[in-house]
Amino acid sequence: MSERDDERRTAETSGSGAPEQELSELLDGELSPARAREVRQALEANPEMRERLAAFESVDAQLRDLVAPAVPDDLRARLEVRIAGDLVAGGHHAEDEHAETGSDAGWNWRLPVAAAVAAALFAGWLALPRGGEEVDIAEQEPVAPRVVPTPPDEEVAVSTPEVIAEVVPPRREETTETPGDEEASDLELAIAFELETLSDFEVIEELDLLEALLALEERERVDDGRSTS
Amino acid sequence: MREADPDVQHMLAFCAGDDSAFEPLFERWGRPLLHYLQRMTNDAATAEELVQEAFLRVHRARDRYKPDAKFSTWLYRIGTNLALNELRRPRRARPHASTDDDSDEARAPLQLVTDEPAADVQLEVRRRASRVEAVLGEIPERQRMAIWLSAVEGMSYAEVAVALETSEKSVKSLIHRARVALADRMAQAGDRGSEGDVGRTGKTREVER
Repeated sequence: MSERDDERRTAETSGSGAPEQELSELLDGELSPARAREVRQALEANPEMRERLAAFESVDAQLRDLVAPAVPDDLRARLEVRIAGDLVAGGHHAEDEHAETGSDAGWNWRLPVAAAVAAALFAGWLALPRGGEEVDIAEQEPVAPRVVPTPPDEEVAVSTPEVIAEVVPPRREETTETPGDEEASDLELAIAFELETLSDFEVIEELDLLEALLALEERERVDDGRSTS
Repeated sequence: MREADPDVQHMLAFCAGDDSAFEPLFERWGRPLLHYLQRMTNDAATAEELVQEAFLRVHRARDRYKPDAKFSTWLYRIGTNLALNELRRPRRARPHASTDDDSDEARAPLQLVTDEPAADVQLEVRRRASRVEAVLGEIPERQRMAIWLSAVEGMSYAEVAVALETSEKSVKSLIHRARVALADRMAQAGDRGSEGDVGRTGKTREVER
C-alpha cells in the first residue's frame, strides 16, 4: 500500500475533491482504505470525474483484452540451444555453478561435448592431405633410398612414409615367403618389422629409429669388412 | 514472504542444482513475457529473441540469484532492460500494427461477412485491438511499460518500480500519464470501450469495496 501524502496531491481537477492522479491510484488499489473512501465520496458528487474514471477503467480493460501471442513451438528448443551454446562458450558460468551449488548437473553435458569435439578434431586431422608430410619426410630422410630393399620389379624412390609402407612387407612371415626377399639380412628384416609396427601417424616420429637401424647396419658392414680383410 | 512465491521456490531449486525446476518457470512466464515484450517492441520476432535472452540470463544467474523480489518482478526487470536496449538501438526498424494495417485487413472482410454476426463481432474486436495497439505504441516507452505492468500484469506500484528500476513516485506519474494519454487518444479515435469492458479482471478492487 502506498503512503498517504495528501499535501502533495494538489487538486489537478478543480472541484472534484480528488486530484486526477488519485483516480489512477484508486483504480490500481494503491490508496489507503481511508483515502479511497474519501475519493469515492467525492466521485458521487462529480459526474465528470466518474466519467474520467470510467475512461481509465476502459483503457485498462482494452489493454487486458489484447490477446497474448502463442508461444512458438520451437521457442523452448531454441532457448535450450542458446543455453547449451552459452555453457560451451562461457565455461566459467558452468564452473561457477558447479562450485556454488555442489551439483554435478553443470558437468553432465561436458563429457559428451568433449567427446564430440575430440572426435571432430580427430576426424579433421585424418582428413588432412599427407602431401606436406611427404615433402618434409623426403627432406629429413636422404639416406633411406640407400638402404631399404626395393623389389626387383619396382624402381621406387623410398622417400615418403607411404612408399616405405608400400615397399616394406607388412608382415614378417610374408616377407620370408617373398622370393625377392631371400637375400634380405636380419637387420633389414628387423627394420621391416619395426616399420610394420608403425602406424601412419607414427612414421614421422619414428624416423629417428630408422636412422638408428641404418647406422647399425652400416657399422655391421664395416665390421664385416674388417673381419674378412 | 517472497520465499512463499512458488516461482521463487522453483528458482531456488534450480539454483540448488535441480535443472528440472527451470521448466515450470518458462512454462509459467514465457507467454506473458512474450506478450509484454511484443507490445513493447511491436515486433514478434524481436520479442521472441528477447524472451530467449531473458531466460538465458535467468539461467546464467543460477549461481547468484537472491530472492529480493517476486520472480516475475525480477524477470520483467530483465525483460524491460532488454526491451529498452532494443528500442534504443538506432538501426532497428520497429514495425507497428498501425491503423493502416487495420484498415487494409479489416475493412474488406467486414463488408463480406455482414451476414455473419459472430464474424462481424470478431472483426470489430480485432479492429479495436489494432487501434489499442496503435495508441499504445504512440506513448513513451516507459509509460507504456508502466501501464502494462500495472494494468495487465497486475503489479503493484512497488513491483513496477523494481521492474523499471525507478521510484514508486515516478511509477505513479508514469502510469497516470499513460492512462490519460491512452484515454484521450482512444476518445479521439472514437473507440473508447463500452461500459461492459470495465473491471473485467478485478483490477478495480478499490472501487468495488
